[in-house]
Amino acid sequence: MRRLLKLPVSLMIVCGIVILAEGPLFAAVPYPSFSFDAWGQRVVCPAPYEPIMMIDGFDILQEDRWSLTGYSVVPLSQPQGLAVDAKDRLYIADMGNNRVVVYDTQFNYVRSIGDSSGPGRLSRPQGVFVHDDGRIFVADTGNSRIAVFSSEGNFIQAYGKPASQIFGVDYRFAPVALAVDHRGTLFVVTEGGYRGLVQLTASGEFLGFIGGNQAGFDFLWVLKQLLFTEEQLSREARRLPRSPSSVTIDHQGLIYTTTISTNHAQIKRFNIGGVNTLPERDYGDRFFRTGVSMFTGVVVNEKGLITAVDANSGQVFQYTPSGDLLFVFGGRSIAAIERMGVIHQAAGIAMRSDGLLVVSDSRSNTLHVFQPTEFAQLVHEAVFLFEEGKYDQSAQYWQEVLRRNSNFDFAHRGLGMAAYQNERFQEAMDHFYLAQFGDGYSDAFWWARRAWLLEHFDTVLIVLAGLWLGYQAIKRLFFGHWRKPKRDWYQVNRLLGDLMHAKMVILNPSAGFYDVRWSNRGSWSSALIIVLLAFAAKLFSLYYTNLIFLSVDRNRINLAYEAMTFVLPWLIWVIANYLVSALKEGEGRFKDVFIASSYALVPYILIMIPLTIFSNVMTNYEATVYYFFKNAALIWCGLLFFVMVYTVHNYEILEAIPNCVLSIIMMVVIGAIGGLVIGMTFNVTDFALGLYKEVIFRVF
Amino acid sequence: MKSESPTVQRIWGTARWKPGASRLRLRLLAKRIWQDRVSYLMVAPYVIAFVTFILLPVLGAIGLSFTFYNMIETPRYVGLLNYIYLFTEDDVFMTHVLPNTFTFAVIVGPGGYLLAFLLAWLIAQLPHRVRTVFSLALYTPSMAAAVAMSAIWLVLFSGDRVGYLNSFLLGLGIITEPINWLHSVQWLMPVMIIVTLWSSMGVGFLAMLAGILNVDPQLYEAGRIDGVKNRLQEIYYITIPSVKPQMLFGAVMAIVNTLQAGAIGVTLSGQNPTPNYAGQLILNHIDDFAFQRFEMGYAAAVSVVLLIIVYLSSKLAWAFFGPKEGE
Repeated sequence: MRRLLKLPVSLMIVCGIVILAEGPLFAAVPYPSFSFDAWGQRVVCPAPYEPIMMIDGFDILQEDRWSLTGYSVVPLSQPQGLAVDAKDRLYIADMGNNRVVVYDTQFNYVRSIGDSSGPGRLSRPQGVFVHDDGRIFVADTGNSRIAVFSSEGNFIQAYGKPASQIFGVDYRFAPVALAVDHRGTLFVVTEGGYRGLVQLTASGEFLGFIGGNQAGFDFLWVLKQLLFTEEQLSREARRLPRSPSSVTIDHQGLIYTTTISTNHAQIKRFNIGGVNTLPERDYGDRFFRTGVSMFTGVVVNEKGLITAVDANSGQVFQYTPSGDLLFVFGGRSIAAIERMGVIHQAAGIAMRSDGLLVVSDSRSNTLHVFQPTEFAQLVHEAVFLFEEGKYDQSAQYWQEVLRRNSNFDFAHRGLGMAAYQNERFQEAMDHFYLAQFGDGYSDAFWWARRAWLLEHFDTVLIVLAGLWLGYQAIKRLFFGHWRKPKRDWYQVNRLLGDLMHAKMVILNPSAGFYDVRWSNRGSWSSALIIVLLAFAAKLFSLYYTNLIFLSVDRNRINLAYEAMTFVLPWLIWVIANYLVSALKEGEGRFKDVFIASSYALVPYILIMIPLTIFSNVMTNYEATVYYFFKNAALIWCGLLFFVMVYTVHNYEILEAIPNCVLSIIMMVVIGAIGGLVIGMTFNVTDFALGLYKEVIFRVF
Repeated sequence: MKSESPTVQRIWGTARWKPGASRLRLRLLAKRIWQDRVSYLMVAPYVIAFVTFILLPVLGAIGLSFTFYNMIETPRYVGLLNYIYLFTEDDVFMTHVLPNTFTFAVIVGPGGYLLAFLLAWLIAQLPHRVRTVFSLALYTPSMAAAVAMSAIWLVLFSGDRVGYLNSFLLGLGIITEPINWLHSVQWLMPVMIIVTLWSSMGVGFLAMLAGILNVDPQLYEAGRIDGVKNRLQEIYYITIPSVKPQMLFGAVMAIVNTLQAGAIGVTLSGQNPTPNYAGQLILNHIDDFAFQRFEMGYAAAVSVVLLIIVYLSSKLAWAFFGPKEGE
């Protein structure tokens, strides 16, 4: 009995955990919603859209001779592309039923198009587009043509395969999506159309391809091209770029495409010259992605807000007109439940002028209708003003947005821009810092620094000159002929002497390391102190470097992880180098390698700490200086490691090179074995724990 | 009081501390000069040339840097205003010129220096005739840079599809459309660096070559007896210590050349200022203010700053390569 009871309870607990892991749930919204911070990390935010309706088409009656009533219900089947006309009526490419379904603004069924026999009969249509003048363009995939209907649904004409020589006899012209600009030019996505969108004039003439993706650079391919004969090359599989998966057009005539199965530049915006005007970057969820991005639909509203849907995750992504990610919401549910707002296989997306978002779900044969929440509307309003450069006016909206969700980083960016525009640089810096927006922070800081310099330049000059003169005077007056006797720190304290030996290592590495091996300089404790100091320098630089030069999110620094990536590799190096050298007739003992390796870290401490402090008065313009010194520190350390190897082990310089290489290989091996051991241990303990629980459970 | 050396006593005699002796001292000095007139005659050409062509212009520039001078009116004294403007108001200088110069100097200075030493050493290993040919070949770019530039680099980095580099990269499929190397903000600086490195085998290179050739071969033999096993050790233990003075000279020349390189960006891109100030170096800035805006005072201030930077950098070179105590 007890067992029977326990099972459902534990199941419930498991389910609860899984649901919690998905993210916090908001009332009435069956999915988590996220905004993104400057590092591309998810930040939970209030739902930007809430589901209000699910359309399955059970109100669609069609004439049926065999039915008693003369009608039968034909619900949606595999709905694909969606479109909205000027009157906000919804058009659905209902692929499974070979028709296009029209709904009115209240989502009541109006008519079906293309399901009656005649020249206008459709076959597996995948895309639909409604022109401003009301004509309905259908990507009639099964018939390899584009069918055009009047707004009443009467067949007007069809565009078949263009008569250009580019389309050979074998070329299968299978349109899957299309967009039409105000001149009547068609932009057609075809199946496997790796050359891009087929551009047709209103009279069906082939204009050319536009918006093709690029195959990208492949080093192996270049090698093959250089080395292979023509015959060999012809036998190679051709490298083809990915074909676009959907297309849409905005009121300015800019063409938006999506590309599936890639994690780079999934969304593109082409101007009439075929140039992508969106930044080429990853438009998906960078850190939590299930497989590869599969953007199957994109829609743009009249203000340029881009919304796209990912078939793989079932999530809807919304971007600013500049391509910055605003929100992600939606997503598949864990269980195969039919629920309003839970998308299983997103196919198409449409947006009405009132902001309602419709997403077609081709697996559950439904459409989901989403309504923007007040929060999303505020953000949209702010973004539009922001994009137009009206930062001042957008500020009040951003403040309102922040009141609802103080974690919305983009709002701080907006407020920062407003402050920047009004030359309140300190305030702008604060906001940009909160938004972790390095470039903005740099610019604001530059102006703030300039203002400060402008005010205090003469003071700075006088102070500098005074310091210099004072230094010279003191030097002349007091230390003219008297030289400071060299102090032997060893006489003060053994440990202090060992630490001060670092100076010798820096000034004359060979001699310094020689003394480590042959004159007993340095000790375990001094080495440990230096390594800890270096680690402290690393932490110091992580926490106090100027935002501009940060490569990690300061709020997500994990001390254990930092130690693992700094101290651990160093320790592995010591072990690996000792082991390799012991085999290769190296003369250094383990202690020597340990101590000398610690001294090799000294330049890092010496450079990183002042550099970190100075970085706080630098801007992007001085980035070269910062990276120069940072790289100099690393190179210097690397050289010291090298000098250490040949000095401590008494090698020739040339002998030390293979030794270093071997040590590094050894490090990798040790790392791999270590990982394996840790993993195995984890499994074993897991097993033992499970066994113990099982025994307890069975016995009692 | 310090006891004076015999020379000092000879010149000043014993009249030094007697009251009313200054006229006497002057006369004595004149007498001494007259006595050594041949020596003065010998140094005169150099001194006169140095003073007229170097010392006076430098002092003049320093003087002008405290004035406002547009080449038409008389210079007007403005105090430190030029310098204050330079460091606080001149956005182009702070945001482009200084960072550019730093990037350029940091790569071209040490890079060109190392390259010069390495090539000098390599060439020194060659037999005599071949060596002459090679050193001439390497030295030529620094003499005929401007001509060679248009002949080679402008064609190589041509911004259209038929430019050598573009054509090559397009053929390999690395790029899909030609890059306008010489007018793009992103690429001008790397191109400048490459071209300058190519032409950096100047006087410093020749000096180092001469230095390496002058190392006594006996030293190498002695080294071999003492256990030197390979060329790397030879370089490290014998060559470098022996050519230290030449290396110091090479380093100073490298610094001066790097910081004075200014024409390169303008020649490559064909415009001053360079596109979006991408290749603007201090010298271009000086040129811009002096000969396009005719703000001579301000340009003089910038060149004084350049002078200070060069001075400090060569101090640094001294610290690295200069003779240490006990050497």
